Amino acid sequence: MKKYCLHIIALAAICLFSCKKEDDLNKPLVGLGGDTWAKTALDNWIYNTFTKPYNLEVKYRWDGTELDPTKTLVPPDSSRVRPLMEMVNSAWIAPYVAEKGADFIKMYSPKQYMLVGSVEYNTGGTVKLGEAEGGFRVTLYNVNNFDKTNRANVQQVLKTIHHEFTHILHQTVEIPKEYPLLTGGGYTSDWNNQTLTQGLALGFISQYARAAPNEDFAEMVSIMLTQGRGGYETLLRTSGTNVTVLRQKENIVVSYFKQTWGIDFTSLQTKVQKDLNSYSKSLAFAQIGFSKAFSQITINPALVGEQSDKFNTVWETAKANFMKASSSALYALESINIVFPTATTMQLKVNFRATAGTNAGNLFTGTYTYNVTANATAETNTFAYASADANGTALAAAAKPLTDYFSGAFAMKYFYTQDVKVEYGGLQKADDATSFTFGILNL
Amino acid sequence: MNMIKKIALYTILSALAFSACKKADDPFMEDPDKRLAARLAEDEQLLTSAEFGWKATIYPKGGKGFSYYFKFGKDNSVEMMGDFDATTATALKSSTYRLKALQWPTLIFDTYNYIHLPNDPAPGVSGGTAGAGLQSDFQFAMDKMKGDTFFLNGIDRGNVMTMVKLTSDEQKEILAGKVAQNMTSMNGYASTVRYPNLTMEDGKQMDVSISPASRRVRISYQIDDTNVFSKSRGFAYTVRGVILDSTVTYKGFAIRELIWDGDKSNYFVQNGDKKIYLGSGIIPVVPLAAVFGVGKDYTSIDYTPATLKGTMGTDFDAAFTNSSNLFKGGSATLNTVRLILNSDNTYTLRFNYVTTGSLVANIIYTPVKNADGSFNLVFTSQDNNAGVRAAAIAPVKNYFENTAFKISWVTNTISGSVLTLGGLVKATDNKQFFYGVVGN
Repeated sequence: MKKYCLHIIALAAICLFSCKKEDDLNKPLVGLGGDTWAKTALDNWIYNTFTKPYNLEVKYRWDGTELDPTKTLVPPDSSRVRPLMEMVNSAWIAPYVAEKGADFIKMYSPKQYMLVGSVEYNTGGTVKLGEAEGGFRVTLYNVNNFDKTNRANVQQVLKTIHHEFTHILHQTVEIPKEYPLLTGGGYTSDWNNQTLTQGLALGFISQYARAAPNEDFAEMVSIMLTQGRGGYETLLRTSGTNVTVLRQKENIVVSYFKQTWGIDFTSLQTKVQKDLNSYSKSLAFAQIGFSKAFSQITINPALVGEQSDKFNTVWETAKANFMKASSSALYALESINIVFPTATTMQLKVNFRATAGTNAGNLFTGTYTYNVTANATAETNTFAYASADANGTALAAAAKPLTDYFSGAFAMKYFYTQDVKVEYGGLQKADDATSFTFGILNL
Repeated sequence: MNMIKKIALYTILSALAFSACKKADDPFMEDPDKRLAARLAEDEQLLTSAEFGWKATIYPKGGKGFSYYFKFGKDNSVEMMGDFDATTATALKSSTYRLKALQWPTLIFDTYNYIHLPNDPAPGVSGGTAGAGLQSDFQFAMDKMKGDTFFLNGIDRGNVMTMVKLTSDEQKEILAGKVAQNMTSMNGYASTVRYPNLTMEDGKQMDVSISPASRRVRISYQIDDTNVFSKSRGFAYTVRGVILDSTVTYKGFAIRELIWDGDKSNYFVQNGDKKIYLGSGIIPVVPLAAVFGVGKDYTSIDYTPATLKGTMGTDFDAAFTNSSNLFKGGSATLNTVRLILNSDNTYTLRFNYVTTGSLVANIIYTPVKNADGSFNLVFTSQDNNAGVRAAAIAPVKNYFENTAFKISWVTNTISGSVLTLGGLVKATDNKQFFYGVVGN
């Protein structure tokens, strides 16, 4: 019996193994090539703005396979997608393209942007607003609440993008070795339980910067770019901040961009800020003035041109007046400083040089003091002429076009020249947008 | 015997061995990928074939019910209205959808529209819990067409959505905001009619308690002294009124819809030709005694003057005032007297009072039934605070002891109050009772 049994099993085995199936390997696969749908205007715009020029995919239609299946999420509202992606294009891609050319973005940018309508709730009750995976994909949450005119909202989204892009840069070329050593003892995986104040005191720009040196670097870059110089300096003014360390980090960031990538960081930052200010209100009123990020503006039309015609007229008249003020000294008007020495005063310092006579070559300053009335609602400062020092009094008549110009209500504003390389600060007459002057911002 | 069995076995095995090899490559049905693609095309044809659109209803796991109007276009666009709120019920919103072969032919509403509102993880949007919303769906496995109803199963949360093709007239009504009107009618009805009820043909009365805020209807009636039939159903708004998530049947009378009669400003239920309008009462028709008990709807009665915003002037109010004054004399404030049915069927009489902090004093009673159905509360034990405050709690304590009570609804006569009140009514005098807000 056993014998038969073995025979049968052997036979069966042979039959089974001898079975030869010939699959048609050339059979076309059905459904290959991913999802298809009728293209909308938005799809075409995305294709022409991101996919075609930069090989960057923007996925806004729901695809559950790309997201955490354990979380409750919703897809984006298609009406919010374009404003958000316009901002991504103009405040992230365009500044880099302007500095380094389109190839730079093509080569280093993440390849996919995944958009999600809601935030993702973490188990601890916190929410996730952005996420990146290995330089390939960036997921942006909360698209349905995106408001291009809300600066905090825009900055928060943009910060994620710049943060993740910085990671790609430093993964390509390592950040300088001395960077992590500046705050070597401060890095901790418990970063989220440490306050921002504690972080700033140690020389970290944000809470998350304490997670790891690379995160620290990405936070520095993204905060400097999205907050701008004004926002960054405001942050550094927080009492107890270790400004020395942060300035060292700032210098490393700037030199890393220059030496490694040939990018002028200030210029990049200015381009980002100019773009942000074009659709979300800048914080110039909160950042320029007494005890603010900048308390002094140096205006020199010869160095920083593109002033308003109305100011140029005033300037030229004053310049001619100064030339005539003293027949022997021939005063040449050089520059003016707008200084905020106290909360309620502004000083207009008129700098002029003697070009002849005994004091030839010497620089003099005439100071005119104004009282300041701030209107926080309208975000304007109203200047009322109060007094002048000795030099000021002596040249009051010559300086009158200038002293008259600065009487009245002004809005504080950021200004940019054609090349958009430096962010300038200045004043614009509250009731006349065609009358303004600006110059270099000093701390 | 064994031998025969074995031979048979081996014969079968050898037969299997020869027949197992089948070289024909063609599956007995067509290629699965092709069938899937064909199925998707079929489903797309079905969705876009409704020239006046679809009405859909879904009852998410997290509560409530929602109805939607969908009009699918061949260009992957979908127009929507819904009963989520007044805006969504009056304004059309356009978004996109696509069909995709996941583990099942799947309909995905792939950009935001009203269908996503109940699933939004932000509690301020969905009205659900943070991070989960109302646990609704927006990706559906397209299951089957049964009669005029298309069944779809949510693939994330497993909610069933049903869709029915609309007629031209129904579409017009929806687009004209009829659903929104019905939402307004419901809110008006629920705020004016305190205790809606139904009187069935055999005279049976049932409570139809409607909560527009949670979109639930509870239908309950008494089976006998202690047993109550009670079913809670989620509802969604339609052009006719509201539709329940499933039918409640009483003696062959199926209740699935509450249909609004605008002229009478009242709802009716309909089964065949039979219409029954909702009535209203000043108290529920199911006696409190039947729904008050361990594991039932209510287990406590809470007398808190601050919550009641007035008193009804029974002898208990006097007893409470006496106790309250005695507490004041002891530098304490008596806020609440609460009678709680415990899981072991004893009662706790609880005094909540405040000195420098919040304190409680508890007395435990055992109920003893009398022949007439009333019961007496027999003192069993008390805690330390009840001992400390013995003098102050005495007036209330005495009220409950040595009197026979019946448990019953109390008609709320406090002006401006809409609280549902229950009480312990004295068996000897039904005008005198302890009362308060029923809860559990």
